[in-house]
Amino acid sequence: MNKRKKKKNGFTLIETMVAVVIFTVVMSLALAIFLSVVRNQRFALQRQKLISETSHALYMAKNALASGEETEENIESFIKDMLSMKEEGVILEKVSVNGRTTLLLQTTMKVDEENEVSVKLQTTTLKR
Amino acid sequence: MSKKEKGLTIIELLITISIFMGTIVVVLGLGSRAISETDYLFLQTQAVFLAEEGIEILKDDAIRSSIKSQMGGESPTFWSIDYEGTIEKKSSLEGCKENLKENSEGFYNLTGNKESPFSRCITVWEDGEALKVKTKTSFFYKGEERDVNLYRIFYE
Repeated sequence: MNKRKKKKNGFTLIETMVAVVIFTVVMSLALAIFLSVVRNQRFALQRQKLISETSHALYMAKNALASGEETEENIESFIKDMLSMKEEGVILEKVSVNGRTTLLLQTTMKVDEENEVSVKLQTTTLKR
Repeated sequence: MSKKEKGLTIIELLITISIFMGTIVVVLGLGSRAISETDYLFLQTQAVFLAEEGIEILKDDAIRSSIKSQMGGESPTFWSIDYEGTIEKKSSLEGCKENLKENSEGFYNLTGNKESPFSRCITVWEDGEALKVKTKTSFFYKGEERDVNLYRIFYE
């Protein structure tokens, strides 16, 4: 009789507490991972956008210089016009050696209040 | 009371929770790969630009003539060159590796003082009147070497 009664009781307090503690720990871990994944995804998206924009601007600038459409003096404003980020997030270094112009374009974009992503690309073209 | 009415034991419950959580962790873990994929995208994009740069520098008549004069009938020949016009003849494709450095202004060239993830080797060989050029830009990603190759033929 006693044996049958015990089986009807379900979980003991200890069993329930152990289960709840384990569940809480695992849920906390899962939540931490989830938040980290969301943050990483945001970083990845911004960086992808930055890479895409920066490479397009640099490619267009290179072609504009090579074809003579743009001069070296105007190339910085040509690049900045094509980029969506604020002006302070764009650094263009240029150097000319023996008729070749090398452009080094660095762009930075904020992901949130504290973090930012940055991309730096270089290419060279012959001046006309 | 029959066995079916007993409900779950603590062991069964723990196993169920573990499997459930394990699945969630694996699925979420896959999502975290996104950030490293953009690292690859960035390296590949820069490698394409550096490969194009290699071809562009060869458009310079003076550099092309300098290379031609040093070819001496060897075919193919291997070269490291940079935007400043520095030319180094290499004995092999392997010898060209790890040749791009970053200088104090951040430009990639052959004389900088900081290691860069990129190496670029330009293979040049003559084909009749034409000069065939292959630019190979390499970088390491997750321990494996990845390459971007561009080909161009220059006619006299």
